Amino acid sequence: MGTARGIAALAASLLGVALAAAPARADSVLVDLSEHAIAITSSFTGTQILCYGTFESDDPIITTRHDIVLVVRGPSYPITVRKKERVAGIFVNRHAVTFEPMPSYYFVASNRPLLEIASRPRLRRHGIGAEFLNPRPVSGTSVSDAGAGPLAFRPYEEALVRRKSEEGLYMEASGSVILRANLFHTQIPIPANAPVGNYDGTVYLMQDGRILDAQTFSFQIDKTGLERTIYRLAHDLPYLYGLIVIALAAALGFVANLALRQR
Amino acid sequence: MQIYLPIAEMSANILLLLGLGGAVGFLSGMFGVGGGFLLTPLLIFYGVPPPVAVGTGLNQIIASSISGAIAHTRRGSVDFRMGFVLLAGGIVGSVFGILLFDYLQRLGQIDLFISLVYVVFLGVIGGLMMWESVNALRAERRGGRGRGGHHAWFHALPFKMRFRRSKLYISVIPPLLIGMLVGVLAAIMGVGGGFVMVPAMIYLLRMPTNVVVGTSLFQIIFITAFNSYMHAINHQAVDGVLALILIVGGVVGAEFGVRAGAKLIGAQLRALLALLVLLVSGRLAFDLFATPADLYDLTSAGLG
Repeated sequence: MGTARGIAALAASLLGVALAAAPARADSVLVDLSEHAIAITSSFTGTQILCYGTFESDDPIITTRHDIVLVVRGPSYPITVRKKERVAGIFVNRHAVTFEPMPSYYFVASNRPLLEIASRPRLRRHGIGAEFLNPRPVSGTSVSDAGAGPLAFRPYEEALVRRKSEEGLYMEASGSVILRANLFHTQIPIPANAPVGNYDGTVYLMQDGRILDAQTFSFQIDKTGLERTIYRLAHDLPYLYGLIVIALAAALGFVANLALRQR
Repeated sequence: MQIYLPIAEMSANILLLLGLGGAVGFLSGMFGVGGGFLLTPLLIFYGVPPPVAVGTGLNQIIASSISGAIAHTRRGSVDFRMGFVLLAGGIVGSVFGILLFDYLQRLGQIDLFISLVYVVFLGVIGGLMMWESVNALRAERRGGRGRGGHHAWFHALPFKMRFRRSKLYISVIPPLLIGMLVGVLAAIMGVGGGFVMVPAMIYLLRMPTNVVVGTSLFQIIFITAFNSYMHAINHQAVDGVLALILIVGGVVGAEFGVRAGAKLIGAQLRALLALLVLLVSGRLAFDLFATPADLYDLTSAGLG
């Protein structure tokens, strides 16, 4: 359904691109999405966004060697990583490291494995790939906060990415970008637990490990209808919301009792 | 059948949640415990974020306690005067408990503290109840009486009050203190505190078993309502949709639980509850000692 719509849009936009891009700008990439707003409804169990585009190069002969890498980041928040240690037989949170705001959602897609596309330093510089996200401890964090060792923060950084991956919120999909001549498309997975907010993406056109061009895009995830009303009420008017939920619970208790009494 | 929970921010199976609410409601009606000590860990196990499980579980307890308390009122098995005294202590204890909850949350030790409190309280109470009820069952078989008189120090305390339904004339200090303790536990554990309240009423206050359950349910309504409200205000962690599903399952279960409970004799009822309490305690203790799958945990500001 979304895909069919996306492909129709893809065809339309490609036609537009072909016409508009007549005086070809050297090494440019264009991208669009099948949807720019994801509405979370009561039946929301996750979805996918079709991302498609085209690129131009002033060197058409080596077009087949171009790479397309897509990075999407959800809203960022500070994250605290705690480590458990055995104390007197039971596992206790001993050490904690808080990191500067990190994306709550991270997705990277590429037409082939990232390390074949570019070198580690370049991937790290642009934050391409979950392992190159480079979490930074908030200022004032000392090595003793993390326990002993010169590379004390390292396991915490790894744990952050590992746990986020387990939650399905950090994802890598190498090979998921389909290249066809100078057209490309891929799917951006949105899991049910994706946080609401603004999502920013970048598409990189790369060649021989260099970035030729980059194009940004964004989309919004928000709750709608009753879900949105409940969420907003709970956060904006918690004094009222708390009372409503309690009243509802109480009323249901009474009703159930009355209903079940009629035998 | 999946449904999206707007505050927990997750997609959940509606039938499974209904069943969960129903099972917990059944126990609630049968034993006069809120069932929160089962519901909260089960919700967390299902993947509901712990603060949401605590805040929302309380609402399910409100509904099933009201349903159960009305059924008990009809049977005349609620001591309202005792209920209000326990409640007065409970509110004071809840305020203290919420302050403690916030403090431990800042330290990052709230999960551990919750587990420890669960293991210790459930273990001790379950063990004592099991021991007592088995003895009582044996005594019944021999035709003897299992219950003794009051402790001597009880009668030395001032501010005595007559509780006609409970056939007691005792100082209000012990019920107030019990109420306070239960209030602290309610705030920290997201439970009504019935699993502490019921044994305390039976073994410390020496109330007759038939009024214990109704009176416990009566005061649980207000303790859980107060704590749910505090969680809604302080943590925005009450999921209305999740609460609704759990309640619908819970109230139905509670009604059947009350009927089932009326058919059981006191000592059997207490032995069953003791067994349940011990099982939950054992499960939680195991989790404390077993090596976790991942030693690292994430918490994020701005979410939840």
